[in-house]
Amino acid sequence: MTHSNAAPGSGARYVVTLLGGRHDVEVRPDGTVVIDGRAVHASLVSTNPAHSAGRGRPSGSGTGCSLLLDGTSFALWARGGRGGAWELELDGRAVSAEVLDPRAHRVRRLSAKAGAGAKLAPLKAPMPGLVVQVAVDEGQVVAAGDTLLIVEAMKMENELRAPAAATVKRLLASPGDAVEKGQVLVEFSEVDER
Amino acid sequence: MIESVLVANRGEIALRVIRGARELGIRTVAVFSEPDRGAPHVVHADEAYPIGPARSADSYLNIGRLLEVARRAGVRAIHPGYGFLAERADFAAAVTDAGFVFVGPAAETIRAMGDKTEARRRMEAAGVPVVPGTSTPLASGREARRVAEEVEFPVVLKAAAGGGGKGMRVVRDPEEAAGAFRAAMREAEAAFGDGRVYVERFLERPRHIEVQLCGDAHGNIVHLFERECSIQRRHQKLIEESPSALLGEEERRRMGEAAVRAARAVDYEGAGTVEFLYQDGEFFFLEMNTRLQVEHPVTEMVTGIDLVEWQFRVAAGEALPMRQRDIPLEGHAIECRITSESPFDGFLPATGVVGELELPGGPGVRWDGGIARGTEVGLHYDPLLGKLIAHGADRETAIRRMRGALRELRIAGVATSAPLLSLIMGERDFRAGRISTRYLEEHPELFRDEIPASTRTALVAAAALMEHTTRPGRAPPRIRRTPTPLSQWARGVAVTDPPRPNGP
Repeated sequence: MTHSNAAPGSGARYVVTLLGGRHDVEVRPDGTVVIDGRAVHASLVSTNPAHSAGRGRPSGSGTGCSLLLDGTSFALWARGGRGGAWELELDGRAVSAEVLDPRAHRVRRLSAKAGAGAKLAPLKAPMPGLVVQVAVDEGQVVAAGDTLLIVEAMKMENELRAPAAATVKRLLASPGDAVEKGQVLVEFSEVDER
Repeated sequence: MIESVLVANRGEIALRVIRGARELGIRTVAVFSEPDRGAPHVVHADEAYPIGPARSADSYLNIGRLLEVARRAGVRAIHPGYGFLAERADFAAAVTDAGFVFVGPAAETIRAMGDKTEARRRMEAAGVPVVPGTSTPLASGREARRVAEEVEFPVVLKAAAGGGGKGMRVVRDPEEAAGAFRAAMREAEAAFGDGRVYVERFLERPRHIEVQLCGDAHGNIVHLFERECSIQRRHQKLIEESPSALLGEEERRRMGEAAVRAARAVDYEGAGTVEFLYQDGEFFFLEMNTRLQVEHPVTEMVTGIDLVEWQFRVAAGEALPMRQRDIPLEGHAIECRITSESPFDGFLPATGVVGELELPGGPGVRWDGGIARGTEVGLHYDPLLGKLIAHGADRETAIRRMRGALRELRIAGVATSAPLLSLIMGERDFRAGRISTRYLEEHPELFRDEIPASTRTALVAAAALMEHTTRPGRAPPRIRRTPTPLSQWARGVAVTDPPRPNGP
């Protein structure tokens, strides 16, 4: 918005959150998209005829898209859309994006703040696998980088380490357990500084 | 010639073997586990039969079931590909005992070279240089420590039955020796069903250079030059090339001859590879792989030889089609392994459904893949989705072609190693050939994954436009419910107006 080259328009406004940044976007009926105050000409088409046949969100295996931004060509892939949550891929990089209208964005930010205050996020399984070893006990104080568990996936052992100094509050997995991606394995509490 | 073959494998290598067989007019029989019913190797084979559930032990490793299918399909030969049963001497023996031709070396050769300690003994006897270490498996953590102290730290613990980096542990500190020994044993036991572990001196900055071989039943053995596979992560190769950017003519000749000597020591028949570690002008025998390698295409590109064809010819009892001096080495070839791993997320295994698959083309570009649109990538099997190979008149040309090919390649729906490979192709040390097996550790900047501003802008625009055009039920706020351009997405045409070169 510092070097705005687009006069305020009557397009649809969105707040796009991706890669840790917030962007204000206006989509105008004439094909102009204003991103953080900078206007570009945008054209987006689906390159997957199966998807184009019906209106709606490309869930399931998603759809390929071609984006032209002021003539520069980008080959993308998109999936999702529920609640404004999109998964996009560009140059082999997968990115999650949240697209909300400004009011919904404000509401979501306020409710997120209300739930804040939690300290250390629990350790979750980064992939499905088999727990082969648990290296800590409940109540144990660990330093950042300490090995907590070893999870085997694809016949390779993956050491899961402590993200920060903490006390192990609860252990939710034992050797031999098959765990799913995202399953909570360890809960932490803050180190008692006495 | 052999008239029919069962391919006891899956993925890209099953498809590669089917292609080679087809060129020789050999009838191809595929096998598949339950989740692989729709896989490309099944679709492209002449015949295909189920062999059990997803778990490898119940399907692709189920020797009894494979032989039963081979009998029912009435095949003459069985090709193991790589991985799975390819280096299992008991499988080779069972195949031969059941009256089939095994496309690979004799069971006895696989046994001798598969046992890494036995292989070391044989190579020493044949005058092939080996890395200092033990030729017998270790009995305990205490022994591991004692032997490691003799060999001198740092050392590497390796699975006697091993390969591919599984069960391997580098130990720099005597205090870590016992723990590392137990971890290596556990991993070796899980991966190979054999927990024996031995020790070798760890070379700090070696290059991994290997020599492709082929031998026949008439006592002929030739080498097809070297492949450099120094770009590795945890002993898993990412990029391979032929020839090595490092070797001179003289070293190339010496290494080729040592490899042939190694093969002669075990009367080698079929295609195989002798792996060497190279450091400061010296090379040491690492291991011999008694099978086709993942990276065999780079050799095929620079020699013009179809290694799978040669495997079938040798298995049928024919003599090698060429003599050593007639084997050409033309240009330079590079292979990138495209795996379902997230390189910017600690190489975590990625899963998903391949939603989009676009393959590159053009001069000197080859894709050996095992996926199609709709393929579900799970965790049951190896993460290798396919291999991209580029060939050119020289290394620089091959790298340029690979960069272009990686740009064209699109696999959506599952994270792959491709973005990292693209970065490596543009990195200065790689381009200059200054590489070693520690290349990735020495280039942490490759993993920073900086997203260019233009890419971020494109992602923001795409996200907003996708949301804008697919909001269910109602038009987005403050936009009238007009038929164009908002609903064009549904008709498969431009979501917004076509671009006007001179602006609106």
